[in-house]
Amino acid sequence: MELLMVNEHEASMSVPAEIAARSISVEDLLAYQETVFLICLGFTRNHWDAQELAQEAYLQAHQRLAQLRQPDAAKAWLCRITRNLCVDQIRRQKWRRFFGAFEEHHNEAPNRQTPETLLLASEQTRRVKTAIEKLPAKLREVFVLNAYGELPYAEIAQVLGIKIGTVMSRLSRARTKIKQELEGTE
Amino acid sequence: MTDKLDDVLDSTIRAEKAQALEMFRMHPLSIPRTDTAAASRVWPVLLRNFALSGVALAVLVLGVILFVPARQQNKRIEVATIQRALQTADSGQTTPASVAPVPSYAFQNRHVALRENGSDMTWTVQRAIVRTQSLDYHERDLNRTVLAALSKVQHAEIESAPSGHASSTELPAKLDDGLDRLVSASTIERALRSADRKAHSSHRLTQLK
Repeated sequence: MELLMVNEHEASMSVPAEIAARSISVEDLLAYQETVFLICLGFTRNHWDAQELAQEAYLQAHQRLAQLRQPDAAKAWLCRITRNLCVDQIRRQKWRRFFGAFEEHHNEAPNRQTPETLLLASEQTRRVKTAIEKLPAKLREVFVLNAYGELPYAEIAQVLGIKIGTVMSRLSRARTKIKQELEGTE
Repeated sequence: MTDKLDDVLDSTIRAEKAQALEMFRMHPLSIPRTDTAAASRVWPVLLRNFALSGVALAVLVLGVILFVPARQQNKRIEVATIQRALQTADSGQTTPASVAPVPSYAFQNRHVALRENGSDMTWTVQRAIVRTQSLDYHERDLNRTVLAALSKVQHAEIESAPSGHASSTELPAKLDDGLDRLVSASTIERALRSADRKAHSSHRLTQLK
C-alpha cells in the first residue's frame, strides 16, 4: 500500500471550514493529528505508545469514515475514537500489570523513551505525570482532553457525551487533585 | 501557592507537549492514500475479469444443465419406446410359441422400430426384447413394457423351475408399476442376466427330463 507521508505544513494546516462544506476524507482529518497525538500522550504518558495509538486512531477513522454523518463534528468524532482507544489501552495495561511484572517492566514509559527524552525529563515533569496518572478515570480524561488536546469545554462535552457544566466541574476537581498531589510530594 | 502550582502544572505540561511534538513532527503519521488514478486503472480490469468469470460460469452451468440430462437420457430408455417396438414386433409375429429361436422377421421388425430411438442404447433394448421374446415366447401379452415382460419371465421361470433355481427376484416389483417411467439400462441388463441364468437352468432341466 502506498503511504502518504504528511509533512509539517500539512500537519499544522487547519481546515474546519472546508471540512464543514464538503464530505470529509482522512486527509482532512490529518489537520488534527497533533491534537490526537497529544491526547494519546496525555493518556499513555509515553511518546511511542502515543504515536502508535494516534496511528491506530487514524486507521479506525479511515475504516469508519462512512459512519461520520456530520462533517463539522469531525474533530470531536476523531477525538472520541482516540479517547476510546486510549481508555482501552490503559485497561489492557492494567491487566498486564496485574498478570506479570515482566510485561509491565517492558511497557513502562521511561524505558521506551529515547535518551534525549530521559535527559529532558525533569523531576518536576515526573511528579506531574505521577499526579495525572493518579487521577480517577473520569477526571483524568477531562483533564487530558483539555490540557493536552487543548479542546474547549464544548468539544470535550461532545467527545465524552456529557454536559459542559460537568466538564467544568470535573476539570476543576482534576486540577485540584493534581495540585494536592504536587503539594504532597514537595 | 495555588497559583504557583497552577503555573508549575501548566508550564510542565506545556514543556512536555512541546518536546513530544518536536519528536512527533520528525515522524508524522502515515495514512493510506486513495490513489484514484490507480483505482481508475483497476476497475476496468476487475469488471472485465468479473464479466469473464460470469461468462465462464454461465457456460459451465449451461453445460451441466444440457449435457448431464442428455447423458442421463442416453442411459435411460423410454418405456413407451420399448412398448412401441414390442407392439410393432408383435404385429408380425406368427411363429409358434414352442419354437425356441426367435424368428428373424421379428428381429427385423424390432430393429426397424428401435431405429426411432436412435441412441446407442438401441442394442441393449434390442437384446432385451430378443431375450424377452426368446425366454417368454409362450406369453402373448407383450403389449406391455420390457420390464413387465421380464417380470413375467421371471414369474414364469419361478413357476416352472424347480425349487432352488428361481431364487432371483432382482427385477423389483416397483419397476413394474407404470409405463411412463424411465428405467436405466443397467437395470434391464441385470434383469436379463438373472433371467438368462434361470432360463439356462430351466433349459438344462428340460433337456435332462
